[in-house]
Order: sequence, then structure tokens, then C-alpha cells
Amino acid sequence: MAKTVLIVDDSSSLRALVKLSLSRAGYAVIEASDGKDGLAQLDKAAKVNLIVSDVNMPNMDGITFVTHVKQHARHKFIPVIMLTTEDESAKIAQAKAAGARAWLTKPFNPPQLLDAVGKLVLA
Amino acid sequence: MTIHLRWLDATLPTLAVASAALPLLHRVGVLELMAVGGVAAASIWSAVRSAHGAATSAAALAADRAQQAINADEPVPASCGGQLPPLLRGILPVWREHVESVRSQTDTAVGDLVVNFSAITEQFEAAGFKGTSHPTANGQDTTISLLTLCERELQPVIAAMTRITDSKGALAASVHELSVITGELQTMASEVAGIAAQTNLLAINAAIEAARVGEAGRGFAVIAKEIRSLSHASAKTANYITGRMAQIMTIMRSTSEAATQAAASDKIAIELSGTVVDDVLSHVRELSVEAQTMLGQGNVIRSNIEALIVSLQFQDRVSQVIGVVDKDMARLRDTIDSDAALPSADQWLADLQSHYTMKEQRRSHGTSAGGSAAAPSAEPAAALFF
Repeated sequence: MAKTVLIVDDSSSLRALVKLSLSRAGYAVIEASDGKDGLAQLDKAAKVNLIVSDVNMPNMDGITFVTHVKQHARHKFIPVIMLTTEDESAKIAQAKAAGARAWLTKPFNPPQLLDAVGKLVLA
Repeated sequence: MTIHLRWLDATLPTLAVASAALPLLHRVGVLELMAVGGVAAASIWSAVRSAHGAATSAAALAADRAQQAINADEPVPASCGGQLPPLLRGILPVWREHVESVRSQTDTAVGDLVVNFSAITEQFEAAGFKGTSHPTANGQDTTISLLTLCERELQPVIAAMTRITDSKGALAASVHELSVITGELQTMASEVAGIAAQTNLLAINAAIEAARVGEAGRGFAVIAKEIRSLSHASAKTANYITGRMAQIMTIMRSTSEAATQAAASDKIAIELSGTVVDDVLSHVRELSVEAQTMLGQGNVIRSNIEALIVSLQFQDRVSQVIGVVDKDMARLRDTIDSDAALPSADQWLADLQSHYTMKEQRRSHGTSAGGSAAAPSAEPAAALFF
């Protein structure tokens, strides 16, 4: 059965690019347009194996989203990869403190993303 | 009001740099698209490019015109200062609409482009140009493994069939040799019959001579009679053997002929099978070469797709740049509306700079202050694991 990845990003084109990369590798993909939508999608989905989330988003940013996920009884064990244009060490430290497992800077390279996803899905 | 103009003089170059980032759309990925996606993807790309041309130029033109107006109006006429806030109140919402239009159109169009590109990619992969970064355990393609399997499994079958044919040939030769020996035995049986006939003749002569001697030859007459009986029995047995030998000869001749014919037929069948097997292996070899070629082409396509995915992320980066500029225009509008004293240009730019998230934004900021041209970062950085 295919592993399911939730992509949280306000850019539909970026979501499409991540989806293209992951679906070619056999992953099922769910999309959300911001942190709030991400939480709603998590509640609706039967099973999510991994989350790939942007940082800067409207309504709810990525760091707040990860904080909520890690406080949720059912979702707290889902590994989260931050995929963002941000490169400031302070933001990276915030994401780590919130419970994210990896930080990838855009533009992402598909093999690199797949490598990170594969490692965390199997972990 | 002079401070308004100084502020704009410092800020508008940043807006212009942000607008100038949009033509990156024209630079990335066209060659890759043509190589990978063909005419369909290129035409989609062309649509994306033209859709953004108007919106991009509108934002850039607005920034350029404002900059030119400021440059031309130095030193500032006193009457101009009072007109600036109403002017900005009128212009800024329009600028923001243009900027938002650029951002949303780019996002939608690139999203559509990726969806269409995904379909093209799937068609390529369905046609066999999938490529792989994960070779099989022995590093070979499946077709090559099939070729090796065919050669390993089929060649011994042909060899075994050849050995069976050889055995049948040896059997036919043995049967032929046996028929020759049987023929000799038949000749010997005929000779025995001849000897029996001569013995019978001899016994008749002995009986005649015994009768001529009279009473003294009576004993010889008895012996002659027994010898005749034996010669009759010998002749009968010899004739029986000759008859059976003839039957055996007939059977062996037909067996020999059948074995010879079977061996010949088997030989033809095996030669034909060998030819068919060689043809099959030849076809599999050709398939293997074609599969290797397709695998190589698939890997090139795969590599192009990955490069294209990296290139297409320009939209997200451009969107980030525009988003910060858009928020800054909103901040300017709010500040004017509040009628509060405007901060200095340095203070304003410091606040603007605090919202940057990418290196190219910081570089662009430096460029507007007299630095070198900004270049977008297109090199993916390594993943950081916690």
C-alpha cells in the first residue's frame, strides 16, 4: 500500500511540483494550502505517513502548524519536513524546537526530497 | 514632504528589482521543456509567458514611471509635496492589484503547466522511457536477465535433444549390424539343411549296400535308417530356423529403416529447433539493446524532468519577493492614511529588510543601494536532518 504524504504550501504550483516528484516515486499525496487547512486534512485523512510543510503561509504558518501537529494525540508521531525558501538559522531552530525532523531549502531537488522523505517514512 | 520623495527614491528601486525578477519566467526551462515535453509543453509554456507579460510589465512600468518622476522633479517643488499622499493613495491599490495579479496568474499557470507536464511525463513512462536510478541487484536490465536466462535454459535443451538423436542413430546402426549377423545365421541354417540332405542321401546308399550284403548287413541297415531319421529331423529344424530367420530379417530390416528415418527426422527437427532458438535469442538480444537504449534515453528524460522541477520553482521564489513588496506597499498606504510622521528611508528599509527570507532578496536590497545585480539562487541546498 502506498505511503501517504501531506503537502502543506500556499503555492499551488509548488504543491504541484512536490506532488509530481512524490507521485512518480509511488507516494500518494494529499494537499493543503496553509497550516489550518493542513490540520483539517490530517483530521480527514485515514492515515498520513509524512508531512512536507512550507514555513511562510497565510492563516497559519508552518512553525505553528508543526507545533499543533506535535500536540495532537493522533498526529504527533508523523514526521515533518520543512520545505521553504527561508534560510535563517533562527527559523531553523524554531522548526527543530517545534518538532520538525528535517529542513529543506527551496528550490528542492527531486532526488534530494525523495531521499529525505524515504528516510523519514521508513524511520 | 521631501521625506516622502526621499523615502520613495530609496524604496522604488526595490520594487523595480522585484518586478524585474519576473522575466526569469522567460529564462528557465524552455529548452528542457522542448527536449522533454515537445510541442505541447512548449505551447503551454508560451501561454504562461504571454499571460504574465502584461501583468509583469504593468508593475515594472509603474515603478519605473514613479522613479523617473522623482528623478526628474529634484529638487522637489513645494506644491508637489502636498499632492503626493493623495497620489499614493490612488496609485498604491492599483499597484498592489497588479502585483497580486502577477502572483496569482504565475502560480495558476505554473500549476497548470506542471499538471500538463505530469501527463506528458506519464505518457513517456508508459512508452517505456522511464529510466531508473535503481538498477537491479546484479546491475542489469530485466531484458538482459531474460537473455541470460534464455541462453542458460534453451541451449542445454538443444544439446540434450542432439544427444537423444545421436543415441537413436547408434541404435539404428546396432539394428543394422544385427541384421547382417542374422543373415549369416540364415546362410548357416541353409548349409545345415544341405548337410542333412546329403546325410539322407548317404543313409539311403548305406541301406542299399546293407540290403545287398544280406543278413550280415542287417545291422548297418538299422543304422542307416536311424541316420535317415536324424537327417530328416536336421533338415526339418534347419528349414524351421531358416523360416524364422527370414521373419527376423524382415522385422529387423523394417526396424532399422524406421530407426534410420526417425533419427533423420529428429535431426531435422533439432536443427530447426536450434535455428528457432537462435532466432529467439537474436530477437531477445535486439530487444535487450533497444531496452538499454530506451533506459538511457529514459534516464536523460528523468534528469531533464528533475532539472525542470528545480527550474519551475522560480515561481515560488518570485512569489515570495512580490509578497514582501506587496506587504510593504500596504504598509506605505497604511502609514499615509494614518497621517503619522513618516520614518526615515533608512528606518523604512531596515523594516522592509527584516521581512526578507531569501538570499536574493537581500542581494536585491543591496543592489538598489548601489550593489551588483541580483541573481536568483537555483542551486538546491542539502537537506538538514534534526
